[in-house]
Amino acid sequence: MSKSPSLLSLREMLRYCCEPSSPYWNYAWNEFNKRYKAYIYGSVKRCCYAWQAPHVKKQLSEVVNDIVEIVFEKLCVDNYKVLRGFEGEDNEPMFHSWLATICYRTSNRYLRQKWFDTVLDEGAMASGEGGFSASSEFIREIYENVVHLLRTLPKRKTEVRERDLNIFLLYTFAGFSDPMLRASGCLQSLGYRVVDVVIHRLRKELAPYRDSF
Amino acid sequence: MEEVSLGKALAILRVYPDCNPLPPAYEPWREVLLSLRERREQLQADADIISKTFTAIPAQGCEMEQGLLAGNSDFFLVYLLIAPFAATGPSECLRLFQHLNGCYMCFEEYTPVFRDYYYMLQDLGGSVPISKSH
Repeated sequence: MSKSPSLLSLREMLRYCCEPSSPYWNYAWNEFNKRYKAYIYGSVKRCCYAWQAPHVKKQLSEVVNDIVEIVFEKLCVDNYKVLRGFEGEDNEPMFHSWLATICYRTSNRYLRQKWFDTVLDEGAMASGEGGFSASSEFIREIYENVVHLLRTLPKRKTEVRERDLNIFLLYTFAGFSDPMLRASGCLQSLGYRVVDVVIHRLRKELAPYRDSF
Repeated sequence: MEEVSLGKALAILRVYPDCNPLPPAYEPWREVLLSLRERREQLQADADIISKTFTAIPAQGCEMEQGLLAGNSDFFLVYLLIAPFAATGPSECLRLFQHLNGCYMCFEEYTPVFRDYYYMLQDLGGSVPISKSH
């Protein structure tokens, strides 16, 4: 073990990173950060930009830092189980693409849950953190998941269920206000406080499913 | 002057159904408004237009690359200008709810048109007519 840490091959670096008892553990992690931290930040940032969601634009650096932290946790948790799982030996391009996949999955999960939180939280919506992002494929995924879940939850008459679901989607995904909802031909005869009651009830029904987003 | 969106044009037509007179601010859009007015009249001539329009909406999502509501000014003319006066029935509404819920493409098409329509109507001081309840 006379090798200088800066000369560590990818394979050696990963091996030492996974061995906290090794004298090279610190060196290996420093080397890892030197070689890959900027790449991890870049990959995460790209995902955040792809979302184009208001809450991401508002606190981009904060969101990116949060996600990068989760990526590192993921690599290290359970005695470096994920990091040990890389099977490309000394294949740098393969390691880059492996890291990019982890960043992509972690970012998507984080951003999906963040966005879903704004669907569930009136305060976040009012502060403009939520909102409609027409170009985002991810929002479409959440939309479809929400519809799927709410259609399978407690049975109601189809007419009521679909109407309530429509109110909920227009309110949370498109930011329609109560008067705006009532301006539609099909919703103009809604009773007093129906919108409030529907939004509150459906949020309550969706809340336990946050982790599935 | 910017181009008039479909939602805004429909709100103007709601408040100024004949486009005559038309406030000077909307004169640059006269041509678009007149063509929509003409189309509305053609559609209104068909007694079954509401039923036909809603029946054409698939119960589930669109299977085309583009949503059914994309650029579909006929639908919005019927739903926002013709149907409210004749009252949209529960089965038509259920059809629309089911489709918008199940088709994100059409949801994306529907919301900006309706939003523009609503805000323009507010600006014009127009109101939404009350139909029969269901």
